[in-house]
Amino acid sequence: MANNFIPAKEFCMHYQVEYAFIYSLHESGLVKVSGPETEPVFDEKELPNVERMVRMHEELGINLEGIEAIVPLLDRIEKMQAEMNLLRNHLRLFNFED
Amino acid sequence: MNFIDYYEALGINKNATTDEIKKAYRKLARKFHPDLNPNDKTAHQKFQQINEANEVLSDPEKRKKYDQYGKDWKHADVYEEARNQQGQQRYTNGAGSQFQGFDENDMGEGNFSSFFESLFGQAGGRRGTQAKYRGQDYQAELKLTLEQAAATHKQTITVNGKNVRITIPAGVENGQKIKLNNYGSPGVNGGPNGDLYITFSIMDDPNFKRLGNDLYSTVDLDLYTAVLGGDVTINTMSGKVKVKVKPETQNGTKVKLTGKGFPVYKKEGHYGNLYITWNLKIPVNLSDKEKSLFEELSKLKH
Repeated sequence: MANNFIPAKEFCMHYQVEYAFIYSLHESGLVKVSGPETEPVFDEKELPNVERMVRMHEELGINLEGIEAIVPLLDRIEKMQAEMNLLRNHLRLFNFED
Repeated sequence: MNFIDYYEALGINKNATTDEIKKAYRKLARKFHPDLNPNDKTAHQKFQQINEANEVLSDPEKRKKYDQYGKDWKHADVYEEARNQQGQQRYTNGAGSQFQGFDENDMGEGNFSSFFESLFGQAGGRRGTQAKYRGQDYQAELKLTLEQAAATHKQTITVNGKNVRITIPAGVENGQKIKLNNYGSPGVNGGPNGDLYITFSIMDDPNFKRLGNDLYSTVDLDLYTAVLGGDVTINTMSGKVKVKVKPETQNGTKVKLTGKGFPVYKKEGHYGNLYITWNLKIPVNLSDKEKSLFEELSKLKH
């Protein structure tokens, strides 16, 4: 399956963010930037994720260190939510459903 | 539709400076932003409120209008204009199905209160940096009965006026989310569309309880069959089957019917098991003859 790539610099222009920010996300391992140095790209699948981090930074004033801390926590929350849902489905068997 | 106190929503006083507004908004946004509160409807609603408050109070013109007409918005001259906009439907529901509608979740924006719209017209004209590249994701909930979830079937749902025909594979779980790529809101400037997420909500069934791929059912069993043994016809999701009851079966005994459970998700031809729990029924309204026979039996008891 062919992957689509988003030109990082075009993305930055659109969001009015510095490319340095995307690159620092890359350095933190939060997104993988590839391609030649003059035309860096990232996988389209990463787009929602990158957009989310840009929003955290731009709208919520969260710095890179904060994002580094938050993103894994969010992943854990989502995993726990899925697990909770599974357990809730199990509880339904015993009529303990709220 | 009620007056909304935007100052209260942001927890600031009427004389707050632009800077104080921004600070208050950011503080609350960090608490309630959908990005930081995945799958939390209450937080999303709360965020919409503070977002709306910020939209108004951080824009000097809107703030002025709000301060002037806010409380008397019903009499404001903008009211007539707003009236024309009512009746415009925001969301379309699937025709006759249990489709729950969707909300534009990704940013939490887009949903403005009717109060806001009366005063300022329909949303839009967001300031500054908000233009997105990728389209918004949509979230929808689809209610299914256990029976519907047991068979692969197609349903047509309407999202933003567009009909989407989806195939629901047999065996979906309660709370399971599926993603339909590109069925969200269109992207801008060549950006890709958002995605449509559908969460299945499976209703309780009066006859069967489900645990993963297994089904559980409690079935009444008459005393005589329990004592003497015999065949009982029971309902499964795929029709009636005959089950052998062993002589001297106790109340609460469980029987496993292999392969009579729920279809396994995306594994055609694979099924879980059905577990039957026998619920012994003691005969009631006995005739004199029956009573005397039972008395005789009880005397025989060793």
